[in-house]
Amino acid sequence: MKLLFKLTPLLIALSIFLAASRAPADTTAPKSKSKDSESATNAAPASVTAPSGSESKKDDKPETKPEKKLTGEELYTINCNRCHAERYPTEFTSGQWKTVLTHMRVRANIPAKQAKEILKYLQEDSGH
Amino acid sequence: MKTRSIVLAGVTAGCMIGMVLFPNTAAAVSDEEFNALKNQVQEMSQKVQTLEKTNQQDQQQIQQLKQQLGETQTTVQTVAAKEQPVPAPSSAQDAKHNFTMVGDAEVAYVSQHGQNGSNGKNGSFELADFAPIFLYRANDNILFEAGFDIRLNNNDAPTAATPTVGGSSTSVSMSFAQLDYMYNDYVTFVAGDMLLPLGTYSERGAGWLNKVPDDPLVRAILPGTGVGAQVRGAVPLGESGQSITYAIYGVNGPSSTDSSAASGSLDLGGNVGMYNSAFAPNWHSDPSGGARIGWFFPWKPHYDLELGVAGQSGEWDNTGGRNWSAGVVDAALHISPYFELKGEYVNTWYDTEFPGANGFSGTIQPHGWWIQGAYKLSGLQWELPFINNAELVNRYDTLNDGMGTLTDRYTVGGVYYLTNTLQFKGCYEFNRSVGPAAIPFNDYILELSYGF
Repeated sequence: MKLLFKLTPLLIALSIFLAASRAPADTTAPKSKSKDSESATNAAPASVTAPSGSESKKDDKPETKPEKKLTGEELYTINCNRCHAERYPTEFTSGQWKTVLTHMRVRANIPAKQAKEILKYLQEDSGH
Repeated sequence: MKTRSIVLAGVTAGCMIGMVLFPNTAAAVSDEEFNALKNQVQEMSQKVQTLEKTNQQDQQQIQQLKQQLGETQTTVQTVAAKEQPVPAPSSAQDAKHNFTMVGDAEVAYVSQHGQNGSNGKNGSFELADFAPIFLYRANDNILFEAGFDIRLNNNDAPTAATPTVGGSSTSVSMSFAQLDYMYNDYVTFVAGDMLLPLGTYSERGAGWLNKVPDDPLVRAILPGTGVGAQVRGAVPLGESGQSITYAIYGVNGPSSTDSSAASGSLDLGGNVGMYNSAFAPNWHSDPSGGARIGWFFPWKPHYDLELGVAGQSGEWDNTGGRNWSAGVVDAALHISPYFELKGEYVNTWYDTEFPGANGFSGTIQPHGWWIQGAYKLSGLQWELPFINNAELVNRYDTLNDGMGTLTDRYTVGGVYYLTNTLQFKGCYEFNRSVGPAAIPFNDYILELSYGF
């Protein structure tokens, strides 16, 4: 028994290690993300030379990218899958999804705009 | 035009052929034959003229039709330009009212094994539970929701108070019933019998959401619901999915037990609003207040951290001025789609009678915590059909009831996902418990759970 209780933190640590080592780089990487990065790379002119002095130090700083707006599907993954297994859009009608999302907005404290995006995503492929 | 040309060409060709083939017959043609041929030519000429007239009329009609077609096309283009896009009619989507049922159902098999010579329980199908949640959306901003629990318990254990009770019993109870009014994007008013946001477990702990079939021990020292009103909402931080969540509420709160003999005992269920009478003494009248604030930080899908702090306080015994208070810290972490770690720390304080009937007096401080880790084996990417649907779960929880009983419990188990919402769960619980209210057995639980 005592051994089991001592093993608990070890098991948890092992799980974290497994998750971290086996985790894909970005499981639901949106297509638009790679497109953006690709276009950003292509947009950089080849003839630009690195400025010297203080300007180069300024450029050494990591660029602050504007926040990408998350899609309904991403918001669904973020907000819903953390508590329960995936529910498929076809499981409910469009009207039922609206009711369910209203319920979940209150229950899980989902921000209103995010709930609307999730609802749109679910209604697109809903049962009706 | 074509017809006339054909006729003329035919006549000409006929003449030519006649002249070529029969060059010496002209002299032999009689007047009668000549007149007959002349008549034929005249008739053909008349027919040609008739056809020409018909052709002209046809041409005029075609022109008129072309003109009408052009006008029609212009009209269509004008209408199309003015037309507003009209969404496809969908009565279900556009309906203001909607009634939907969600919820879950469970069947559980439980077996208890006594420790140190104490009695256990025969293994049996101990629980059948149907827990529907009825949702009525009155319009875009108003929702009424009520959850019920229809439960069949088998293998009830007789107690000292009810020595003949055993076997099975059926109960029907309302787990919550609340009205939600979404005032704006950031504020929602809730009123009714509400699941309390003391931590996240009571709000997100439905049967098919739990990866371990039973509740953490420490939830027994917290009220699950409360009758009252609440303001809650979420404020997004940027576009990354981060948010600050809040809930502030007032509920009747814990009270004293309704009986003259036990009126000095705490009742977390909250029998309130009753006058102190000789028949049903109740020492409670004023509501309790509580709140939770949380921070949800997802850095990408399936990777997130949630932290929350909650508390509730109020007098459970207004006659004696005795308080009941609770503080809860909750946390949940997801790393990848496969790994989850979550837990809660709970501390409660309640003032007791002096001198206490149970030998304790002053402020009793029941407290405890639980932590649960789960790992989906699909993360191992073994591509094996059965392994990929399985998830391993471990939980450690502990409870000190503040009156001399300390219980540590270690649970090891798993979930097998038959479908996305139909799950088979199993766990074995090792208890290490000492004190007057010790749990003297280990047990295993098998459960089939369905979320709908």
